Amino acid sequence: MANLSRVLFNLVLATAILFGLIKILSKAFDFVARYISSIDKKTKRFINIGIALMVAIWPIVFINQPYVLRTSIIVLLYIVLALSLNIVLGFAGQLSIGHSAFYAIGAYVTALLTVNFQISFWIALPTSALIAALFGLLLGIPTLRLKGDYLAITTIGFGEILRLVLINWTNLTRGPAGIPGIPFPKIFGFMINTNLRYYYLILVLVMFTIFVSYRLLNSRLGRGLIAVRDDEIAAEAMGIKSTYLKILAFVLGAAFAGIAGSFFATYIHYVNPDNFNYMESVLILCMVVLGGVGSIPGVILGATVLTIIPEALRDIATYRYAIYGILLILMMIIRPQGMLSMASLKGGAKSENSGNKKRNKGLRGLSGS
Amino acid sequence: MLHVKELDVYYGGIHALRGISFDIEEGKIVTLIGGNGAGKTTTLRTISGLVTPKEGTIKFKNQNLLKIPSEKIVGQGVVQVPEGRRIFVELNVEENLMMGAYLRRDKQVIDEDLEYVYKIFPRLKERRRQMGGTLSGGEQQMLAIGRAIMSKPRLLMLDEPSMGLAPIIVEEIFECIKYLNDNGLTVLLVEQNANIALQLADVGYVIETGEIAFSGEAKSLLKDDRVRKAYLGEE
Ligand SMILES: Nc1ncnc2c1ncn2[C@@H]1O[C@H](COP(=O)(O)OP(=O)(O)OP(=O)(O)O)[C@@H](O)[C@H]1O
Ligand SMILES: [Mg+2]
Repeated sequence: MANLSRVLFNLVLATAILFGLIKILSKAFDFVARYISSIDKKTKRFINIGIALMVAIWPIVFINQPYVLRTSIIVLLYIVLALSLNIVLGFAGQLSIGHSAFYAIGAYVTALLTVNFQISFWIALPTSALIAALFGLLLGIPTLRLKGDYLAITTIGFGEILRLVLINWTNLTRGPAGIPGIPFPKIFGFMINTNLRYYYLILVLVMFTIFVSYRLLNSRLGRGLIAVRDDEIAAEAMGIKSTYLKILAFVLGAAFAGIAGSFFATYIHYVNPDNFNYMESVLILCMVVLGGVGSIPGVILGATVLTIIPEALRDIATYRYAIYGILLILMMIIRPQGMLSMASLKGGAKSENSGNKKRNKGLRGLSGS
Repeated sequence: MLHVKELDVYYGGIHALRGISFDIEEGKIVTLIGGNGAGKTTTLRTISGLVTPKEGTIKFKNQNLLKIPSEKIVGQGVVQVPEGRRIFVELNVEENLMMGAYLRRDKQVIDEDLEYVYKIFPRLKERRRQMGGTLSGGEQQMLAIGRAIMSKPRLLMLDEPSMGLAPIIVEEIFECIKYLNDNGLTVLLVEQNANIALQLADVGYVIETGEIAFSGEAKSLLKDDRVRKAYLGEE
């Protein structure tokens, strides 16, 4: 009984603190967004170059602090993962809750290829992406033709089935024991075997993911996706193939999750089914929702914050998952569009006063789509 | 230009269209009038390839539209302005219009068509950067029509363009439809407002519970007792 009341007290306390934090942060990020949308192109480029330089020299500064380096690498890894989910959730407006399944596929494909067949990481990486994409296609074709939230349910189921297969297909995956001994990647005889080198490897993958995300967003395809998300019937009346676009986005998201999985396998040198459970999917979802569904800078922010904070607050680790749940609920109530939403970055406060609630729908608008 | 024959459409167990047939001649305005749930929207969605009929044929310029996927039908120039306007609220006026040209690649002609739309609807030009969701109902209807024009239609199908608009705005919009028709566009106009639709159209079809009840010259339908009683509210 005493325990129960203590847990309840802690949860209420956590809710109150999160509530306050979200309120304060919302104000702060509104201010930031307004500032960003007001500065001119030249200053913007200047700031971008500054950030790029900082990210590039960051590991050199902390070269003697392996903890900082490792955390930075994990942050970058989650940025790839969160951006991959953002392609599905943010661009196509489809809720996928089993995203870590594709992460798992990427990791296991790389593990099996490099350990069992001594295949080079550079072949294993694209193969992982390809196979994850293939599973995305198999899952997407039947579910995305239907309207509604079928994808969410299907992906949860798929994630669980995959985990059970990984645990029980012991001949191939060695079951719960996992696959150890995944080798260091080698490029033209140059071994990636230090944190510093891994940092630059994942940084390249992050930049590739960001590049593809922006290209997608600003392409015909991206505009088609925006239209489908906004109003599917109108989009179809314009001759936009909504099903095709949604499947494409889903497959692309799966492929990038596969890339992240592949990197994870070579970096940790060990994979086991527990790395890819349902909570992992929820964590990735939290990152996207916190930062801002559909907003690339927002998602990067969300991934960074939600990777660093649990590291910093190891003491409350037992409450981690409860806190993710509370965070999701509070975000949807207080700030459904996320901290750094696309709309606020585009036009700052203007969009708020447009008198149109639908613009700020964020995740809320997804149900019953 | 368009020949619809014996269309039968089911939604699960609901028999929505029961053998609908009608023809549209090139350059004409044809109106399809009927009450709530008569099957007008279903007819348009079937022509656009968004609903698959159980029986029947749809021919557009000697092509079988039922064999063509919906996005190709738009490419053929059969374009509809959906019921309730359905503007993209997250996009501004110009982005909405450009979405109409989604399937086109002729950049230069697209720009000319954009100017053409702005010429017909100067109000849209004034608001080109305004978000679609913040436009008034009448402006949204203009935007929906403009967006359809950006798909280079040869047959424009309008689903209840007068819905929820003040009479003076309706008049303005119907004048624009007339202008488009005078410039060579064939129009299929779906309406509940029989009076104004029949005044504009050349030919009218009256649809009741999924069937064509009767049809004829629009002018003569205006004088027809059955129409006057059921759709013009006269005794
Ligand atoms: N998606 C659907 N599923 C099931 N039944 C439908 C669906 N869409 C339409 N119907 C039914 O088909 C019939 C015809 O509907 P339709 O929308 O074509 O009518 P309408 O003439 O456009 O009416 P309104 O003037 O009210 O728009 C109605 O009985 C309607 O309930
Ligand atoms: Mg209708």
